[in-house]
Amino acid sequence: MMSLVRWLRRYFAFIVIALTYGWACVSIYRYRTKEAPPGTITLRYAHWQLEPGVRAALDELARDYQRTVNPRVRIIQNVIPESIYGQWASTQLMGGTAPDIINIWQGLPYHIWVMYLNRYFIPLTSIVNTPNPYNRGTELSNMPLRLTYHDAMRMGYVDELQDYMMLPLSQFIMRIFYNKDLLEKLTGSATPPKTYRAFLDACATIRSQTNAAGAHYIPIAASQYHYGMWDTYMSDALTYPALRKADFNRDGTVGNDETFAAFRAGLLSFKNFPPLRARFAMVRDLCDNCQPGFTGVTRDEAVFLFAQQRVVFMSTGTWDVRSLQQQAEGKYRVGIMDYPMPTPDDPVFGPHLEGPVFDRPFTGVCPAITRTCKNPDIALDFLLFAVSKLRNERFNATVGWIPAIVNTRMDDALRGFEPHMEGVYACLNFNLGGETWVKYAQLYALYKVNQISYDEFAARFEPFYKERGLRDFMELQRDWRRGMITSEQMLTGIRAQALAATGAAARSAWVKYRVMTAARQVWPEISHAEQLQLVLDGPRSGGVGPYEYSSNVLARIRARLAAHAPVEPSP
Amino acid sequence: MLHFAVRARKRRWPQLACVLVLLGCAPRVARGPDALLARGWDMYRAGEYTQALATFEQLARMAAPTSTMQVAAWYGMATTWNLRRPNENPDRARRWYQRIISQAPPGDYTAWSLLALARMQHLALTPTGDADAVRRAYQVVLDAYPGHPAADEAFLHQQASLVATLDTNASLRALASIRAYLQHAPTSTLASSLHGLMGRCYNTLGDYTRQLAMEIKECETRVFDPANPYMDNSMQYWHIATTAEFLAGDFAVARHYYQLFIDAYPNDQRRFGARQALLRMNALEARLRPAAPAAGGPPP
Repeated sequence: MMSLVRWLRRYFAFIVIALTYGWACVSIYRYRTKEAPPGTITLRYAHWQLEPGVRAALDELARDYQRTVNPRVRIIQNVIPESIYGQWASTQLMGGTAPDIINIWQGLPYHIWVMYLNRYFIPLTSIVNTPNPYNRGTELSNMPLRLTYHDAMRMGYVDELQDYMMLPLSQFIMRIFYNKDLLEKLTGSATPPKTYRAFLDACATIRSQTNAAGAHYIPIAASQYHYGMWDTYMSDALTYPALRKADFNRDGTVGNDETFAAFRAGLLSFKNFPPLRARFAMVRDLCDNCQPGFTGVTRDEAVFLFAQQRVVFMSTGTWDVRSLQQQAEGKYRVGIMDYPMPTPDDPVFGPHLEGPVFDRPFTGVCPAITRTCKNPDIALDFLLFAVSKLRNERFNATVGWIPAIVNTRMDDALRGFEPHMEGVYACLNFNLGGETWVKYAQLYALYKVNQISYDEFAARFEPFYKERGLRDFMELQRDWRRGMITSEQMLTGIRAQALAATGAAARSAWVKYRVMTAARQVWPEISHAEQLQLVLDGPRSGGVGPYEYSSNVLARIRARLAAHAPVEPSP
Repeated sequence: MLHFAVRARKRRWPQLACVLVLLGCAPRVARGPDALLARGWDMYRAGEYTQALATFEQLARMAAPTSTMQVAAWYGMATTWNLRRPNENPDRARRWYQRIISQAPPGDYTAWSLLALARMQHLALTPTGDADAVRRAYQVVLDAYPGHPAADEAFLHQQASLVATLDTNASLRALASIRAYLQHAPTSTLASSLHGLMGRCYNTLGDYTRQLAMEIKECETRVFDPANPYMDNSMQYWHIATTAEFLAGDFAVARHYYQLFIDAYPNDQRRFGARQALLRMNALEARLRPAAPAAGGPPP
């Protein structure tokens, strides 16, 4: 007896530890067994979508899959808050304990996610050119998977890896959300303003009224997060005419180097380019209708103002549809409206706005399968199920998002707001990085809060931009040169694959290799030389922009017309 | 003595058990030469350069001297020392490439090693560096392995470095070389890129009609990676159409390519601009046809 007591006293600590360990093992086993009974296949799906409806929609999708495809499969969601998603994903992936499916692109810089995708995820390229078996019986039954996407599955493709890595689930656009009841109460009309001037009038009416506490109503709820959407969808579009002056490389956009070159050459300036003045005038109008101090406010604070019914309009993405509707439930009605643009006869903006604004829908919610997944075939099968026409439509209808797959129906709340895929877009980019960009950001912030005028902005920024911008531009050039090694690394990897492959796989790898060699190494060498020449020596065409007719070209056209050369009018 | 030995063995059994457990836990690595080579490149692509080097070294040790497999391993080691970041070692990389060139029988790896040496020179080139020396390095590959893909690529880089000078004499030299090359190998896999380079040369020379012709040929001979969703002809169509309209003044070609663009890329942001261009050309022709007033400046 004494020896037992002595033994117990001697090993008490070890016994406690062993019992605790045993208890923990049993608890985890019981919890896991309850979650996934023996014989079932468990797939864990991690994401950060805490928006209302997402978890329910995924659960519904999982139940549907279990019922119609594989009763042994259990899908368990790990919902991780946005603020720690990046750290969480890093530790799980590096520790080899990652879930089977993870949504990509949140919480970490792009290049880190690309590195993770390369190391820890399974490429899906082999399946994108075959039809999705779950589209059988629909008009998409014979269509390759990638072509069943609105964007040809661009968001699932990672250019740096030359592989499809994700099967995106939804599409998003930006719109203005408004409090229908408050709009009607304050302006007397439940119909949202359709034109810019009508919108400004409505804002003025809203601003002039106070609530029961005596506080003035605010037309627009904005924040650091929200304001950029107003710029992108309204004021930036006024810079489209700069395309004709500054798209020197003829790619249909105006890059930071082209903007800089055009300013240095005098083709563009803050004083002599009226569309730029108009753009800033619109920024002034919009900012004057936001709540005071909006530039220092976070996303949640702006949403709170909207929920408190102190604000009528708020611009955000369609991912917020359900959460805004739920917040308003039983209190007020939420409407969605398009951005109100100036009409052609608008005295200030009409001459510069050449058409409707081009929408930039983007596909999001991008799940990828980890290499540690024990059942990658089943994980892939589940994702194919999720991106089939019928299921994708149903999933997005539940969440209130736009389906990623073609020929699907949108949620009723979004109907009528299909993206407009033809229009104008921003064509100036002052971001050369370094001090130039800091200066621009500082002055633009002051302008937004009405502490400096447009002329003051121009006087303080333009000389600085022209002088210091050159230094920042040269640094960008050096960055590009240093970054060439990354392309060389990637190309050598593809070449090794090509050398090791045979038959069709070898042919495909060589095509990929040659295409990437030209795109990543050969052409950039020339285009950067052209950029440098453009910036240092100015455009060769003198005062004529790249999309303007020179006197030589006009003479040639005149000569052709005079010679009665056949001219086919365009349809 | 026997008793002592048994006791000693008994005392060691926990250590023995640990070793066995650790052996059991050790990751199963690829054993065959092909599998080792594939694993080495997988590690390289994943950015695990230390493991890639270890794998290539293991393969180099186990393969027969100067066999294809050993040369492949050397090439893997040379590439890793050359392009790994951080801890790259260009000198060591260069030595490995040179060892391949001097010791291995002529073949794929010797050709690619020669090109790699030229690329090392090219990527280290500063704006004031000796560009001619880089072009000579590419010429070494061309002379040693004519017709080999490495030589084709060397030719492409060599000519691109001439075109990138944006100098008229260099452009004329590049034009002559590319023309000769294409005469010799009209169906080369690089035909599209080479036509593109010729287009750039003509741009430098101010011959926009020929530039337009070359851009069209570049587009027509393009080879596609069918799996790449970002690879399409939208940029080529837009480029040809705007070159035709604003540089060559050839509205028929411009109309054709703007229309192709509109039809093929309904979701491209430049579609609006293409429609505007069609209207603009009609308006300009209508304006110039009757009395040809003095014109210039931006289109209506």
